[in-house]
Amino acid sequence: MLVENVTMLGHKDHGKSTLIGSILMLTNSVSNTRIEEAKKYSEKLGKPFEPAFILDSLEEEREGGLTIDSTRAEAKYKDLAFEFIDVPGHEELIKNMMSGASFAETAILLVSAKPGEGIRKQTKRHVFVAKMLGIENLIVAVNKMDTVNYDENIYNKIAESIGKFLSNIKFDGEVRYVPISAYKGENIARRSASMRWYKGMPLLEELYRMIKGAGKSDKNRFNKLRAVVQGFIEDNNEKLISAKVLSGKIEKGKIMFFPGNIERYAKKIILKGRVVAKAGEGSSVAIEIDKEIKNPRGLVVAKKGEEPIVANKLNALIFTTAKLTPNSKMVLKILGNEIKCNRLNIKEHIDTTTGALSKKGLIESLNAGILELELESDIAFERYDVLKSMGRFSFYIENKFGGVGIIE
Amino acid sequence: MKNDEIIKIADALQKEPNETNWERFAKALKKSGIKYYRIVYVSLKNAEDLTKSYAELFDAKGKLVTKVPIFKRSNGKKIEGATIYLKGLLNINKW
Amino acid sequence: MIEQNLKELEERSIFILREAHSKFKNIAALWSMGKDSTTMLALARKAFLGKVPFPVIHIDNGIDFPETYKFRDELAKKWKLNLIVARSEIKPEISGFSCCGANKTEALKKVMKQYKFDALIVSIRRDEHGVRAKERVFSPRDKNFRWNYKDQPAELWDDYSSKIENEGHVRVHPLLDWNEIDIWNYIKKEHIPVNPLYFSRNGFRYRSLGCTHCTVPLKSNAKNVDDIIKELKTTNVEERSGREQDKEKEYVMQKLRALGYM
Repeated sequence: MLVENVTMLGHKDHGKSTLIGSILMLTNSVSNTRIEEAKKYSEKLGKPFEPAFILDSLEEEREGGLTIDSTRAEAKYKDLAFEFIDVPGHEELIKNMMSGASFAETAILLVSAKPGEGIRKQTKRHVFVAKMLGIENLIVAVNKMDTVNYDENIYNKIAESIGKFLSNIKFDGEVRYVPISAYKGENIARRSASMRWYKGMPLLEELYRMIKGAGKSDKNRFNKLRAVVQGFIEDNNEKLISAKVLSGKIEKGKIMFFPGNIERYAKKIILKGRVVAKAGEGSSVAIEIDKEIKNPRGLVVAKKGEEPIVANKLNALIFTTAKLTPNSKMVLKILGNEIKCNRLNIKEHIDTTTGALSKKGLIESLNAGILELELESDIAFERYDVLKSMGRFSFYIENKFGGVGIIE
Repeated sequence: MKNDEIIKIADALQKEPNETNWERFAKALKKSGIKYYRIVYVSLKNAEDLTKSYAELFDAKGKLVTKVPIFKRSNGKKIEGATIYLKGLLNINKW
Repeated sequence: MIEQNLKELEERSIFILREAHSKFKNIAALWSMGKDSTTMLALARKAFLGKVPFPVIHIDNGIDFPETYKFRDELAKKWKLNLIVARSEIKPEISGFSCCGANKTEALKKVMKQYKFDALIVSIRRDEHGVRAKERVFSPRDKNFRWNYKDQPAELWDDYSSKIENEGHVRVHPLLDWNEIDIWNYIKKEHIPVNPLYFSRNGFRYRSLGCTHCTVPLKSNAKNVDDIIKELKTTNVEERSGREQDKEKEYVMQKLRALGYM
């Protein structure tokens, strides 16, 4: 069965864990043991049972109300299986959020309708980063409708505001809006009697339809051979190249390695222990080449005449957790390579809570920017909108995680 | 009888579960008619408890043949687990 | 339990194993002869052209099931494994989970130091337990085997962290995304040898394997892999409910993890 990853975005108090817990219970996707454990624990704390307890397994979380790391939970709905990746909303934990968000193309953004809560900076930042990381389908779930008496006007206001932000940051994926109450389990699996004014489908159904209808034909129209080398595998004193195919097909014949324009002949392609004629996207292969290459790790394999971009300068849209100035010592991690950045030219500052551009000459922490980077050596890459797997990187500043970037 | 030898060795093991006896046991096990074992164990609160656990050995028909300890005491001092010497037998624990 | 796409899971695990093999100078794997770690070895053979190119460590407390020892020795011979048996002592003061926990950790620390391993492949799955759901594919341990669960390295796409902090080592978890049923489906598909304790002969079988003193069998008539798969599709009992140590509070296990227990 295909498992669809769904990331949960939004501020920490807006109910993500509650929603997932609720979904698990409503779709019968959680064992009785787990529910019993969660109920016992809530009793011990003297708190009323909360669906979120089902997810939170770390002690601190149950008692402090915080989700520290990405947790995954599976739920079945009709013929689809969802894996919900719950990520923390707290500002200091945003780097964990990026780890969680990076495996999904679909997200649910939770915004609380409760007075005093509503759309927060954190909410917007999550959306910005999610868009950057490739989220294409978004459901905006306006939560805690039970606390505002299921008021349609409040719901509309929030939906409009998010819509405006989405267009400001040029989000061009699919968006749907749903009012819910995760705590009460309303409008999640079944339509809510308290929100008859809402004409759409309940959350799970909207999610289901959105995913089913998503243009999967978009998946990799780029079909040139691109494979990235992991290293060597020894076989009877012979060194074979281990590589993962990112796009196109690899087969016996002439191949090139970049950077360096290294020409070789692939004598044999081995996939999972068997010699094959060709191997496609996603395959981890072993390649027997005619002449050894000294340090092949991180090199990109392509066919002659279909080369990737090779350069030591690139433009990127980045999101940073730390302040960035032209003097910041950046190290990029891309396709298994670690490359130092010699020069950083900051072209634009992007406020992640408004989408506004400005020429500040630096990037404030938790914001984004357009940068021109000059690297210490050439690397092979593609633009992010051409081939995602070869157009994205993470970066470190002085050995600490800094942020993510996509190549433009 | 087929199992006389192994029963003798099992008795020796009860008194002196040292390496020599265990090796003798493993050899004799192959020639015996013992097929199954059941571990009777206590909840381990300290190393000494290991000496309270034991294994019951049964033949192919399920009849109890003898009992052995499940630890080994080398050099008179250190207690070590010894279930490896029951290699080849099949478990019939129900709890 | 949701069955996932085996081909994708397999690809990802092979990728992770190869990354670990390329990135670390001296890697080893833990093998408990259970279905997960044995599946991991089968995946390694796929990744490395029929061989397991790293040592395989059995932390032996001496009271494992006889079937487990037999399975270990036979498979090690068949697959030509570089097997290291590290004995863990049964010390005077132990209780409940510590028996299988703290002392095994000591034995592991010793062998890691002795052979100077810089990375360790551990076959845990996210669906096994709440705490483990928080683990990452590459997870650093410092030299005292402590896991700082509040400050995990960000893990983006396929770019796994290999920063070794404080002379410690990195844990590699190639099976993190697999479910219990995926493991059995894969075992069936690939005819992977399995410890006979998983199968029932007398109305009971072991769903999860620890040592003789902390594993309790469950009622079952599943006699082979197909039966087990059928049973899994209808059961709602959590896997580890046969293991004493999991009956302890979850947070204790988390603390144990933080102290170095696998």
